[in-house]
Amino acid sequence: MMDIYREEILDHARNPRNRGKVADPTFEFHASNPLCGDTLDLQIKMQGKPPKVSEIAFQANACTVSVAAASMLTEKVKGMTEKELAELDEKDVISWFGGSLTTSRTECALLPLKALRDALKGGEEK
Amino acid sequence: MIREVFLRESSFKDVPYKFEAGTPSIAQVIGLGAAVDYLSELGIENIRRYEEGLLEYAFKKLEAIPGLTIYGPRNSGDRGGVIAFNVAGIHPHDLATVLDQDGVAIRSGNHCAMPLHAHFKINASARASFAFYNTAAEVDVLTESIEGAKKVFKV
Repeated sequence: MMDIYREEILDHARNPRNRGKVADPTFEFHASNPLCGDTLDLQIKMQGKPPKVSEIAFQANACTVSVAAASMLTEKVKGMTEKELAELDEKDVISWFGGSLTTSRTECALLPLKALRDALKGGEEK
Repeated sequence: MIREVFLRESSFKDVPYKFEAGTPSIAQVIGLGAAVDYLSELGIENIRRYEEGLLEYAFKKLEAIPGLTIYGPRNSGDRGGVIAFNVAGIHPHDLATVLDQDGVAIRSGNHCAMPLHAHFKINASARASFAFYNTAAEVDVLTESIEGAKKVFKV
């Protein structure tokens, strides 16, 4: 099967890491993909000096690509500062899928990163 | 469309002409005429009958797939040449991506009908469209590809 559904991705989608909720989150955001109505709630707790990601969790009603991307993203960002979070590159997320994403599926893969960026901005979903 | 143009001011024609700048859609009108001729030659009734036959065949094949839910009326006479469906355990976007690899193009998502999806209490659906240029053999490719997707996602 193609890279997009290789076993590692499917494993993240079937058994997502960091699924759930965070108590007393520093940042949170409810994101949705307008193409399909998929939703993703992301919560982040920052602790320490300088503040770093101590806890992060998500809940999703979404496709394999979105859930796998959220699972991998939340694993990657633990211990990051707010500045490091803001510097996360879309290209990195896309590369996890081995460059096999079409334009519309790229939206699915980037939904968690967009949720993270919007959470940092502290804004309500527009 | 403009009436007069000066370096610091312009005036426009009256409505509706002011909104009709550029070349009119001449090529499009000729193309539409050719399409109407083509469909008339085939016969709208013949097209409809053929599509209903394809729908019946597709219903039979799709209904045989465990875990597959079809939305809308079962009677092919009560619907157009499209079938919206879901396969339990596979998000329609994922299904569409796998089918695409097999050369089968379907649509996935809300199909510009989000309230209808809310009514069915689903996030999204997959949708196969049949027209007079599709064949029963292509319906077979569709159903085989869905079976293949079930293997990929182990459902």
